[in-house]
Amino acid sequence: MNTLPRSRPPFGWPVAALAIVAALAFGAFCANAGAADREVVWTGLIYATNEGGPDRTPAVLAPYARQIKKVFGYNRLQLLGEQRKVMDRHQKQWSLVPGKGFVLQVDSRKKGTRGCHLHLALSRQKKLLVKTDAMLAPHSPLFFRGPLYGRGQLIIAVMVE
Amino acid sequence: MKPFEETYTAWLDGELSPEEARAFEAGLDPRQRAEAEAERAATRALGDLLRHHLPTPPLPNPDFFNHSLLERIAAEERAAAPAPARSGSPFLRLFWATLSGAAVAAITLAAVVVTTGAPRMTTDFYAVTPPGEGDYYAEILESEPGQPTISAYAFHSSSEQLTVLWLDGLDYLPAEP
Repeated sequence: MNTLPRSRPPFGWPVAALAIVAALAFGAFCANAGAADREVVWTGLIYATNEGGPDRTPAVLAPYARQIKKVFGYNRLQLLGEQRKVMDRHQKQWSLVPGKGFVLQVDSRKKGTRGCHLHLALSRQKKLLVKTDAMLAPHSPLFFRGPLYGRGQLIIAVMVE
Repeated sequence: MKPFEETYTAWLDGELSPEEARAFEAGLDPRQRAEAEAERAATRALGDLLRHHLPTPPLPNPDFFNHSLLERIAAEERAAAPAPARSGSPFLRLFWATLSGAAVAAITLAAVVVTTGAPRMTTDFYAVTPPGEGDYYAEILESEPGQPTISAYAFHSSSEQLTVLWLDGLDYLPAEP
């Protein structure tokens, strides 16, 4: 009875094991590097008022609610809209739509020692309101004081998560 | 007794009591009285003009204004504060500074080795030692309004740890039902 010859690695088992370990390490490195090239950017449209009723401050704003209320002079915060996007290094421009016709464009990104350098353009109904360059550390939102709305104020927040 | 100038300016401003005003006017001869009346009329006209044409503009954002003002005062006070006096020779200070730096570096390295096993090699220094990780940091480097009617002010409250790009001149939006 013919028996098939047993296959053996050309350089022996120790070399093959080393190659497998190296391949796994390289894969882990690449995955980690890919994750470092991506950030999640969150934007939200906040409605700040001094009206009565229950405070419906959303969880995402809870760490900054006290400061927002004090600086803007309102005691109720409500999230009218929000959007999250993964910013990929290979994509040049992102548009985030927090709501009420506002569009926040992020069209370049560099990572610095203290955070992300973002070029932001805020517009509403195709009308450019402001362009700005900002450096944002993770979980350090930047706030745009928007127009008066209803009985309060609109605030647009952008944050790198 | 009040000096004449003081009484005269009080009379011009209408701050004298009726008795004082009558006594002041009785002390003037007809020519002086005519000149004083003319000046009082001119002063009143100027006051009316200023009141009607140069009203004090309402401060739209008093909290923001106060914050900015206090921040600026604090910054100017910090800048104006005298530097602490130094003593000892410059060589001794250099020696102690070098020794302190070396000690801090050794402690930091030891802490990194203990907590992470070994220092990692990376091109991103931020990944190894985040500067004040968890601290708020948002800085507006530059801003430009998109419309001539809009003003944009970068505002950072160090006490509240909040950075705002403050836009003025935006149209009011009525709330949707």
